[in-house]
Amino acid sequence: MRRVHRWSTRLQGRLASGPAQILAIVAVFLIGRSAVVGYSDWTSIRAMAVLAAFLGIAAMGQTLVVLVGGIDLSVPALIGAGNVMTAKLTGQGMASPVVIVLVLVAGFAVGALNGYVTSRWNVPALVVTLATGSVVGGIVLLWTDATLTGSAPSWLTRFTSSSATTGPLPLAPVVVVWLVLAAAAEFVLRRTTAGRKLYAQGVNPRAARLMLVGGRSVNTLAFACSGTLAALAGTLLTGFTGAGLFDVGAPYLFSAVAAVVMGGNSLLGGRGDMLRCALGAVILTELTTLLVGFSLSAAAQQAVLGALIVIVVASYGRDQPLGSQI
Amino acid sequence: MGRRPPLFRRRHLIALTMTAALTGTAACAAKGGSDTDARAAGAGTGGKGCGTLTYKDPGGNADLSQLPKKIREGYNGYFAPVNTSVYKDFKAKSTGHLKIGYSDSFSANGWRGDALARLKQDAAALQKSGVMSSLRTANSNLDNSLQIQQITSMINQRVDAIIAIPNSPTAFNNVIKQAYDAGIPLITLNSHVTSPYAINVDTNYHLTGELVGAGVAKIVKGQGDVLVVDGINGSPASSTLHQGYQAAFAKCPGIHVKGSLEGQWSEATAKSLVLQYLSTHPGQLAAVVNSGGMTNGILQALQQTGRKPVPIGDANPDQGSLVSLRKLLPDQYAAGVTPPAQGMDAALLTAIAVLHGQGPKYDAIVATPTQITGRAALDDWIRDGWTASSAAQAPAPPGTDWLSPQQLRSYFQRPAALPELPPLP
Amino acid sequence: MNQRYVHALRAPVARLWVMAAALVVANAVIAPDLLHGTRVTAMANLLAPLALAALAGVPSVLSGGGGLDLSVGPALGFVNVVTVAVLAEHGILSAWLGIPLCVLLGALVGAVNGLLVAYGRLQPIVATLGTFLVLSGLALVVLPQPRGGAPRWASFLADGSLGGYLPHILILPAGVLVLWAGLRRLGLVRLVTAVGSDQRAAYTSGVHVPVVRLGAYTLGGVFAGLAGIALTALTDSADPTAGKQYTLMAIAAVALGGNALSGGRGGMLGPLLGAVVLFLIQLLLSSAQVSSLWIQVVYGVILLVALCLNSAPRSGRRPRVTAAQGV
Repeated sequence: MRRVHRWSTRLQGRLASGPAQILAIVAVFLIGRSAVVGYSDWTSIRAMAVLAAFLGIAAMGQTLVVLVGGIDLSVPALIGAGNVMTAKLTGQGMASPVVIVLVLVAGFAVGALNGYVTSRWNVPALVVTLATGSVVGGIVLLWTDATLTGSAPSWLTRFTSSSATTGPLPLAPVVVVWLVLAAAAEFVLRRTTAGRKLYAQGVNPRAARLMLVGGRSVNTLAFACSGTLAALAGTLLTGFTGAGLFDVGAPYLFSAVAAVVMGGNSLLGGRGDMLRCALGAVILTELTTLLVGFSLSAAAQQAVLGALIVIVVASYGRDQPLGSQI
Repeated sequence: MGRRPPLFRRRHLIALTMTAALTGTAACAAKGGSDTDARAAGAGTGGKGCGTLTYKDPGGNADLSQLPKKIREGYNGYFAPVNTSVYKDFKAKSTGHLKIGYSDSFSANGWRGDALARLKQDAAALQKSGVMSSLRTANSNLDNSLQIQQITSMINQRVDAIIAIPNSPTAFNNVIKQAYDAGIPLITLNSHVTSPYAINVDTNYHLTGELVGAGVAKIVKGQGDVLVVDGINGSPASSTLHQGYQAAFAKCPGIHVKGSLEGQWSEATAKSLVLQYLSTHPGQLAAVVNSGGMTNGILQALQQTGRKPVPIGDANPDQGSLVSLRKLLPDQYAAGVTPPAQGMDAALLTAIAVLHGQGPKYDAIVATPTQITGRAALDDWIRDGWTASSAAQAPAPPGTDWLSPQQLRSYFQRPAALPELPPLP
Repeated sequence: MNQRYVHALRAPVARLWVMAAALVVANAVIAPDLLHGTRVTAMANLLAPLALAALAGVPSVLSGGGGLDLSVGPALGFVNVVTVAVLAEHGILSAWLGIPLCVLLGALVGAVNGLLVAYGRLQPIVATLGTFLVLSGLALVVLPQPRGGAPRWASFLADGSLGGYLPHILILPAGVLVLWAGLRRLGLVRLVTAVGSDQRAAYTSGVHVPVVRLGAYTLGGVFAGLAGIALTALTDSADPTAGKQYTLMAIAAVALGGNALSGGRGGMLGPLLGAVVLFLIQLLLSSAQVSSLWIQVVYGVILLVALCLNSAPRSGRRPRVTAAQGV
């Protein structure tokens, strides 16, 4: 009996990160299906999946940073940098694998710098990443002389087309890449020492350092991963539109954070996972599509989205009352 | 730390019900809203005027009647009143070795990049011939107070004239007055300000929208549902273009503006939104018009939701959009153009002319937009090496007369020779 | 004695004073014109919205629990829009009515944030991101395009100066500092700090934590309302998209001012100086003729360096563990 009880508690613990979010996804989908013509059509779902994939990849990096108690506002600049770099280097005739490696290395380097500076001088990540974002954006402009050249390799365009398929799957390859990456990251977080260190660092950095598991390297790694994933999202976005664009990342400044939170992750560090992040990206994409479906004006869309974010998060992401935290 | 929270709680359900209620309300509000929108657009002057334009005076105290016909047409429906310029009797302290300041509000897009590159090229040439002595550039990244600060510091450093792309039509009036008081004329480029102390070298966005809209209306034979993809909400260029489109479609009772999206002049945003729009609006779409440079994103969204390309209107297409149009819709597009290089040349020459005491007649020097349609125009326009996926700004089609030095003479009281600028790109 | 100076320089605020002074000197050397009376007024007008936005960000951060007010920018933008598009439109042109209404509107926005955070128990970033989006959208609904026609008191605030040296606009930040000093006197600031540094300890010692948080966010809203007034004074018009950019600048100023973003530590002077330093950096870049494409890079690098120079000194070799970290 006791074993059954323990088993069920564990199951509940596992599911606690899921059902409410999944319920929300289903609820929004059903509302969309009944209120908006074509919302549940296959083309519509495939389009939403592609949009959720870009958001999801950017938000995955954000999740890692949030887990160690930081926040990464250089994501839009890095998406833009990855995007413009991919187009320009491809336009110069460089082979795609080389381009992708270069872009990811650049993203990794900037992210690592973010993490290192944050932990070395003990300064808030929010402002550090804001500053590096400004530097990265400026360097891209200087490098390209503020003119856009080049274009995406053609395979990348197919890769991110919402009408493409992956083998037998009727989803674009970018969606599959996102899901595989999310699963891999979830595995690393749950099952490897590196992943556990991340949580330890996020829950209590000082205690983590006392236990010799925290510190600069963990922090630096988390930010570096975020930088890499943002640059990857930028590269994939090059395929989406076919060309480079400096401010392509701008919409992801807050939407990546919003996706992390809508999945039910805590921004205070130490609590959260990739599954929730993916669910958050899906909910956010569903909601924006729904609002476009209602033909609201863009201003009204923004206002209603703000209210909906609060309401959805309020349905499952509230903190415990203070009295029960003691 | 106590018990585990139960899987579902009452408040989950309450919140989800609230979500449902709110989205439901939004839906109803939206349906009401869009219907009236469509009706307003349909309530036009009857079917006769569909696809044509009628002259509408912009108002203001300026006398435009003495202008040559072609130039006067440029003021048709201009969104702001045109007044006589306060600089009409202006005399500058120095007329040679000019120090020019350039205050830009945004750098991360191709148009601004090309404009800046052209200005640098011009300045280099003029420095050689002794007309200019230096060029100062500043950029505010959409931050109004930073731009005010940058213009202030240009005034402090006593530049001779300032060319600016202000980020707001109203927020800069104080600093523009300061410049005027210091004897420094401020010339805006493609961003009209309400201050009487500026000289606006502008594009008639309303007329551009109306011309492109009329072109599209003709192509779809005055029938069907149209989607408008705007630039950035709250930006005058975007809303003026939108009004131009509305004005054109209002003349066609058969055309309904079914929706408008905020594409933010970004292919990626436009494509995402159009994908979402098309997925949730399965009905037939007759045409899509946009505020410039988003055609490629729109065409890709159409294709990826399994639809055929529909006629496109683009107020200022980029290179890739033109190549795609030639491939997919060579006879079913209408385009305008707002060339950065010619615009910058006009602003610079205006600054020099004002400093040389030529006396600008009006506070707005408005270029006459052109309507571009048809396959031949595309063949003429597209250059070797442009690819379908290039987002770079397309230079104006060859032969476009966009506030050329010759045309500029008409806007001045005492026109005189202006310095020669390098050949256009 | 040397020791004492070195020790004093360790305090973040002292280092900010040094930085600000150095920047003022650098600016004055590059552009001596700045020290003239009318220029000082113009500079004060430019600085006021940013400084007030930074101050508006302080109480929420101080109240802890990941406190952060992302809606500061849109809130002040919304106040700006309402002043022109609603108040002036309906003939409310008197300063005695207009200014209190602006402050009230700011307080209302702050109170909504406070309710969502304190009673809705939402994470502050989510709650204020929600209000960020709602307010940005509403501003565009109320006023789709920028428009002039601000009430007369706006230009009174912007133009004049007392005795030729003290710009009128400084009334607003001075008011904030006086109000803050009063609250400190009453011990209310201490309550916020107590909640911010360890909410569980505060709770167990009988502090009504949600009420204190609600108060902190509302106060932030009041300051945001004042920032909106300063923006109206600066631009003498309304722009529905102008406010947003202040959010991140304000938070940067708060952090640069040495206030811990984890809450419970810091005051008003630091963020105010932080805003001044940010402003002076920008001013220096404008006057030093840095080419437009370089401005972003140089600004980012200077911000990063200033941040590291002003970081809290590492407290000894041994890490301290406090209860606050576990929350």
